[in-house]
Amino acid sequence: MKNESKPGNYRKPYTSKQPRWWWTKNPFFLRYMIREGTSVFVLIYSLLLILGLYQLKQGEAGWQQWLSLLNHPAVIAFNLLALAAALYHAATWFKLAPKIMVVRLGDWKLPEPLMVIGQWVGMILTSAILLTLTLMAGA
Amino acid sequence: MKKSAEDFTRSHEPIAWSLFGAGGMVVAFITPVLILISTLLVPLGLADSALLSYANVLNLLNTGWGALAIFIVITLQLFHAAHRIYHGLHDLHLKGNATLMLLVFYGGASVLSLVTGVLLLTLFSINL
Repeated sequence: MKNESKPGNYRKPYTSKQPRWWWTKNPFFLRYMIREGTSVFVLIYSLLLILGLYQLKQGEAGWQQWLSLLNHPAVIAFNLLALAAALYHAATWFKLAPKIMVVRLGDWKLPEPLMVIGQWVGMILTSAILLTLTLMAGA
Repeated sequence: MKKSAEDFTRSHEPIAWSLFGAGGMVVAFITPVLILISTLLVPLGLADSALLSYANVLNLLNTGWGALAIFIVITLQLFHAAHRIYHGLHDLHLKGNATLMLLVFYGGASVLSLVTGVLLLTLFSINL
C-alpha cells in the first residue's frame, strides 16, 4: 500500500470536539465569519451580472426583463445588502493589507494607519472617477 | 483506486490563493461602485434610466476594454467567493468529499468564468 509510506497515516491525533457554532461565542470570530460571509453576496451578485449578460444577448426585450428584475423590491434589498457587504469586505481587506505586506523605504517603515487611509483614498478616487465617467456617458 | 485530494502531490492552494487575493482587491476597490452603477443608481432613481439602456451597455462592451474589464471583475469576484465559501463550509463543519468540493467550487468558478467569457465575446461582436 502506497499510503503506508506516509508517516502521517500512523498518527492518531486527538481532535477536540468543536461545536458547529463555535464562532458565535466570541465577537472576534463572529466578525471573522461575517467577513467570510460577505463572499456569499459577492457570488450572488456575480451571478446576477452573468444573468444580465445572458439577457443582453437575447436582445432588447431580454435586456428589459433584466432591468425590471432590478426594480423588484427584493432585488433592491439584496443589492443594498451586497453593497454593505462589499464595503465591509473593503474595510477588513484594507486593514489586513499592512499586516501582509510591509512597505519599507530603507530603514523607514510605512505606518499601518497611513497604508489603510491610502487604500481608502485610492478606493474612493477610483469610485468617484468611475461614477463620473458613467454618469457622463449616460447623460 | 480512486484518487482523493490528498493524492495530488501539488497543492491547488497557490493558484487558488492568488486568484482569491486578486479577487479580494477587486471586491474592495471596484465591487462597491460597480454594485451602485449596475444595479442601484437606476432602480433608486439616482440616475436616468438611459444610463443602463440597451444601446449604452452594448456600446460599452463594444469598446473592447469595457468587455475585458467586466470579464476580469466578474471572474475574480467568482474565484474570490469560491475560495471563501469553500473554506467557510469547513469552518461550519459542513464536510463533503474533498475532490468533489474542489470540483464544485473552483471548477464551478472556472465554468462560470468560461460562460462569462463566451457571452462577452458574442456580445462584443454585435454591432449596433
